[in-house]
Amino acid sequence: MTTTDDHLPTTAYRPPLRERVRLSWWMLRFDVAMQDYPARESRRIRRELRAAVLDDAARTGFDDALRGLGRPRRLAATYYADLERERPRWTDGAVLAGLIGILLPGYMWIAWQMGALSAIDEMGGGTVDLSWLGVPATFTHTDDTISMHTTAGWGPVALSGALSLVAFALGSRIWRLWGSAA
Amino acid sequence: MPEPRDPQLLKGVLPMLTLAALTREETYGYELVTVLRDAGLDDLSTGTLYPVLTRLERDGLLISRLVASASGPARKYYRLSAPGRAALAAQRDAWVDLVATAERVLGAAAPPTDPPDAAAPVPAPTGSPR
Repeated sequence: MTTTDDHLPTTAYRPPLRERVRLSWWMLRFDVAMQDYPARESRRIRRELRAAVLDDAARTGFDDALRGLGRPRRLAATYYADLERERPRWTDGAVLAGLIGILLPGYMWIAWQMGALSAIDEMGGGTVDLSWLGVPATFTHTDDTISMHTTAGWGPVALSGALSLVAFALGSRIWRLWGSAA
Repeated sequence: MPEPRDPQLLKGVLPMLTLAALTREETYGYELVTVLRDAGLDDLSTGTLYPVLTRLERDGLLISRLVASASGPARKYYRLSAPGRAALAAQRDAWVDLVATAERVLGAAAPPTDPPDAAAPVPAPTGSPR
């Protein structure tokens, strides 16, 4: 529980620009390391750390104040270790969902198109109707034309969605939501 | 020159020492680091203590308040709560018990001896071969 003194100063301490930049950089790295920590708690910790560094810096110098805190990732790991149980890593899940759920189907789609156009060329050219995951596509490969016409369909969307969900669940270790206390 | 302290040992007792240091008076993070350093925890850093203060406060063992500081932003002062005092008493009892147990075990253990010199000649086996 924190109470607030009514006579707090209205003039904020402003360190030199170079130190403000260093502190902002340190805080940014700490934020990145803490992004899967409970949001409200994380904001409070960040606010308190910033105030403590500025307060310590006025006494011991900026270098010592920052050195005392150590590396942002290491300090964040200490805070994570104090949680009652492991939490999901939402950021990891989002990154993995993007890579596997969007980039992978996109790569497959482009590779399939390239393969189809190449096959038509090998057969002497012409126009061919194909379908990919239930989506019709018309390929034309002649001496003066290379084209592909298609329409939107649910197949690729469903594949992308399913891959994204699985990748997000695995990447974020979503089962930690229901995990027992460590 | 003394051996460097095992960080795991410090990690285990630091919450109790923090509570104990706060029984004397209300204080803020850096001053608490100074108090504990002066008491012998020379290598204690703010990065080690601040998470402990956060946890103790979250667990309701500490109460904090913000006080204006002449040197900069408002300073956060901590003091023990009633559950904090009870927790400290319980931890002190557990610690005394643990130390007594450790001393019994260590006292009963044989003093460490130097490993045998590998270059020393191996004594011949006694008894006659079959």
